[in-house]
Amino acid sequence: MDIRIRGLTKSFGASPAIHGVDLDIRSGELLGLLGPSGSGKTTLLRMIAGLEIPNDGRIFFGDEDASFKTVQERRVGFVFQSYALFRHMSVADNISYGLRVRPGAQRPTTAEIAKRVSDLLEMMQLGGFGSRYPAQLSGGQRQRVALARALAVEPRVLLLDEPFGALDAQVRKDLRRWLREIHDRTGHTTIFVTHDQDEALELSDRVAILSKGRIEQIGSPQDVYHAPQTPFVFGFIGESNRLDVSVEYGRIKLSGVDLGAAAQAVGDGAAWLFFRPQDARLTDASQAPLRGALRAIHRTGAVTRATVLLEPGGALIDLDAPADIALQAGQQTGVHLGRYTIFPAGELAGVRARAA
Amino acid sequence: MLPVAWRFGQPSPLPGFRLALCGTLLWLAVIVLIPLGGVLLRSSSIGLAGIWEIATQPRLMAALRLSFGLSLLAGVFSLVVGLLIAWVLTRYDFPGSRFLDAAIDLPFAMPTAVAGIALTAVYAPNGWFGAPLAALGLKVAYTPLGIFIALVFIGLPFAVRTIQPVLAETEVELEEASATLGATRAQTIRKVILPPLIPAALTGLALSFARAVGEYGSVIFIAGNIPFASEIAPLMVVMKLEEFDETGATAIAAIMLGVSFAMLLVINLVQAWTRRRLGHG
Repeated sequence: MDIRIRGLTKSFGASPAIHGVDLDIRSGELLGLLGPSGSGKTTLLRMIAGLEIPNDGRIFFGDEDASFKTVQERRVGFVFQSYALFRHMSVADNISYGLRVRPGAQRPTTAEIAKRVSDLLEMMQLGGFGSRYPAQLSGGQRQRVALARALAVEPRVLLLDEPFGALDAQVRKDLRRWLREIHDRTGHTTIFVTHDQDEALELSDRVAILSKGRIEQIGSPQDVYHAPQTPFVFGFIGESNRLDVSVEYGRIKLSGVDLGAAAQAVGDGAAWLFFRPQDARLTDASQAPLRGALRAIHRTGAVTRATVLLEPGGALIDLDAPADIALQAGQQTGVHLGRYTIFPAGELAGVRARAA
Repeated sequence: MLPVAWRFGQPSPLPGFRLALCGTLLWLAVIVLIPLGGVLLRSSSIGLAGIWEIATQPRLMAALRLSFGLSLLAGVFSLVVGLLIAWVLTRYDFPGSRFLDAAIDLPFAMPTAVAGIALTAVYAPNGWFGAPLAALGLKVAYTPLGIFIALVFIGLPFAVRTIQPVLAETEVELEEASATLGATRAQTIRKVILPPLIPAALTGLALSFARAVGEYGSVIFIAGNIPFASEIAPLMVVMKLEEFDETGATAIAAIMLGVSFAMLLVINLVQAWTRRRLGHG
């Protein structure tokens, strides 16, 4: 089931949560909605489910206009961060709930329901847990029950709101892999919300990055990491450094020091130069226009990272250094910039790069 | 919180058990057990046969039936209305909701006689509600219906206040999950919202029932106290006392005590059973 969203808008009181969002989700795709808190990602997900009523815009499930359909009519599977399991029902009763509440003619027989429940328990690696109560399960097990309950009704689309948000790191990691497997096996169109970029990049076919109620960029995890289209995305995904520079006649200046011709076409004026720690390296102080004093060396396992206080501009930047670095803190060093991206300075959200 | 296991003679890192237990037992003895024991002792002086003779007097039988029947009925009714009020107070924030919340407790705070006189004035055949109802042929004051209204009045806060905190803990996500799974609103209420409330609702029922059985002040004014029609059992106790028949009064008291205890025990057993069934461990 592919899903098309057109001009979706929602405001709570005076503050807009979603501004005219357009989004196409392909059938069978696993799409991550990634953004900081308050970016509107959960609101967007809840509008797709029918749990929030949009102020404007349309939502299509395939060719069907679902905009004015009730939650029940949309047949979505929704998994909540808090699990929202029914505490007074056993695991099996939780999973079969969506089947048991169907009107008589559409309700499967008791034997069919039992079969479906045991299949799902098997798939969720919860065989033998059917008669337990939610209070007797661990967080990871509860979340798997919640997923089984959502899948039991054969939803047209599976929606997950911060599904692993309440779990500890190791369980999170395991469940992530496992969710990907379930998705590949069942082929449901799946949309999940997260504020954890590792989770979004590892799990998704495509990632939509939201900020302040707008989609900043949508693309494969590779795309959003290696070719960020807005300053917000560059700053939000992965580690990055930002230098406040100016562009004069196509040349980049940092506090008056010429850093060479801009690698991308960008208009004259104030600009932001973004680069990742692995795209710059330390060089001889006499050879580079970008110079500074080494502040500190951080070694974290495989990576050695140098912090440099730049002389022009006075900014602190982080860059990768060789593990056998001989420099001491306080010594002068040059910085060679490899790949970088330059954006016109402006708001941190909603500014597109000029032909990156 | 899990109870702290305690063993005799072993020092505990969290002292205070002995003191707390002594205080509890002393208090129970002075305030509850000794007075109740006195009632039983006094009434036993006429023997079981004597008590049986008093209990089977038709006038007292009618009063006991009226008291316990109406108290149970009023408790159930308070529960239904109390559930609705608790729902509105926990789920919606509207102008005046705080005021309404505070007003729920008024029947607790009022002297019961004041409540009785106020209710009588309103429901009397010439009162604000009584007059239009009388025009419809419905007599409220000085009938069992009037007693029922007084008992609901004093029982309602118990029902609201026991259900409210449990309802406040029920997340909205549960209702949303139920809706996404295709359940209608009625199914959600019946299968998701109500079952977890049953233990609290039974506590509310027990409390408002117990209060109603013993209620005197707010009932006698509106009841009219007509023998065999609108005479409650606590009034019979008072009448016996006024006739200096203390033994008779304590005998009625002992009978009421026994019936109340039996009914509360049943409610508590049902509650324990539902608690287990609801997976509360």
